[in-house]
Amino acid sequence: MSARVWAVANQKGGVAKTTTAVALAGLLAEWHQRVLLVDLDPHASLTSYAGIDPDSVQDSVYALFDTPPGVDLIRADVWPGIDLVAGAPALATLDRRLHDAQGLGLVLASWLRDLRDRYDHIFMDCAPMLGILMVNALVASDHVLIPAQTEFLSLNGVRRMARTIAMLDRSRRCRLSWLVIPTMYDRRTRAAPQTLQALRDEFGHRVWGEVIPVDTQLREASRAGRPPSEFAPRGRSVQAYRNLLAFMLADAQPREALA
Amino acid sequence: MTAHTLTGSNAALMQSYLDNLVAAAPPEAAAAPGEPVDHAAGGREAHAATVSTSPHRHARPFQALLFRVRGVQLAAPLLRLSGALPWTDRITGLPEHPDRLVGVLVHRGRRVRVIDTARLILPSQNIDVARPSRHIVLLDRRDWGMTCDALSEVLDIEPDAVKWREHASRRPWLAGMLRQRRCGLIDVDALAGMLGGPVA
Ligand SMILES: Nc1ncnc2c1ncn2[C@@H]1O[C@H](COP(=O)(O)OP(=O)(O)OP(=O)(O)O)[C@@H](O)[C@H]1O
Ligand SMILES: [Mg+2]
Repeated sequence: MSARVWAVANQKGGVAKTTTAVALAGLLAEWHQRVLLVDLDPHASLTSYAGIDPDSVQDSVYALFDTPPGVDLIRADVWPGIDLVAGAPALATLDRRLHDAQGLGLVLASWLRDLRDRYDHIFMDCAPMLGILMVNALVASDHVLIPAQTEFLSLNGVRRMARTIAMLDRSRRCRLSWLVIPTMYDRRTRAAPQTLQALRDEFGHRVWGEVIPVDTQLREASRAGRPPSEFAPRGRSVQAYRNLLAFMLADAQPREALA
Repeated sequence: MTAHTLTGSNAALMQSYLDNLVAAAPPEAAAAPGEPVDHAAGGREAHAATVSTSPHRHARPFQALLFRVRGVQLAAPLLRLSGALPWTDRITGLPEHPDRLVGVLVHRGRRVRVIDTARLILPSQNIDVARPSRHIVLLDRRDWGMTCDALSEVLDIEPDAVKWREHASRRPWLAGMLRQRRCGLIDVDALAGMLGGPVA
């Protein structure tokens, strides 16, 4: 079997990218699916979530851009069934260091190609900015998940992602599939339903038909360093992530090559 | 992201930035993965060793959908299903298809091959042909649907509530039995494996 590769990305920060990656990975691991998480964020909140101090990390994704890579990058079972490639602050320097960037968008894809038969799912958690690492994630992925907080400013972030993906499609002559996931949905606010409607009006079927509700247990799960499905298996956000997963597995279309 | 001042055409600058990043073959460093792969394998083995002997066993509680096939109660892990459709006349039969295949249904732009679940997995004497199928349960990511006559309920199931099948048998699709319900639990992967290659 060949892994399905998912990039979790949004050029806006704090929209639940990392939470979504861990929540989905946790659910899949419960089902004995083999999962690899890749932390592409210099803030490395995914790495911290897994109980690893990013400042102590030597063998981060950064090594892939070094010659030769020469280190083992994969930490096995940071949670049962879930492996991690850690992030580290050094990632922030990549864009500056690699000013001659030709072809460097393909590095991660090429590395993951050899790992695909070892995993069922690979999730890449992106930092909220466009740069070499996000491009690498998009290039390496079959699908892009775009979490979007259901509040007014979120539309711009999604628009920007849609534009980036469209441009990259043009560069690569293919069409990447992407799905907007409305997150932190708070029914009691006016902004939530309005933003949700605006997202649907603008992005139509690319917006998942349900929402991830606002749920303080998600923050507690991350503070406890445990995947949400393990921390609060019956929580409403976990149930929502379960529904999302069922939808992703059934409906997401792989990347199409353009003629 | 870059040191350029993004005046003039933002879009053009951005496009050329992206074009450049994905332009050439990646450098040597990336092309030779070597060690990390082996490392992954080692980690995986270590993990596998902690799991029970039955290859079907789930480590954690899970949800299962119970449904009836020609009167026989069966269960399947909910996460391995992508939904259920009411019966429809839009299923088109195929010429010379095996009788366990009902036909093909186009659902959300994808071709779903609908199998007669009873003919695939029940002993022939158990098939109550008079009972009509009323639903199609969709398997995850495989473009297969299983006919069933009724969807019953979703249950939370503890791994210990299942008698997991330890050995291979003539029913590769059977992961185990739900003890309380006396009902077979389907291994969706094994079932999909039995279905074989594409039909049309
Ligand atoms: N549905 C939710 N309800 C309540 N809080 C949430 C929800 N989802 C995420 N959070 C919390 O919101 C905060 C931001 O989430 P997260 O770190 O996943 O976002 P992010 O998009 O990865 O952020 P960044 O852009 O900084 O990487 C975290 O404290 C997280 O626990
Ligand atoms: Mg994050």
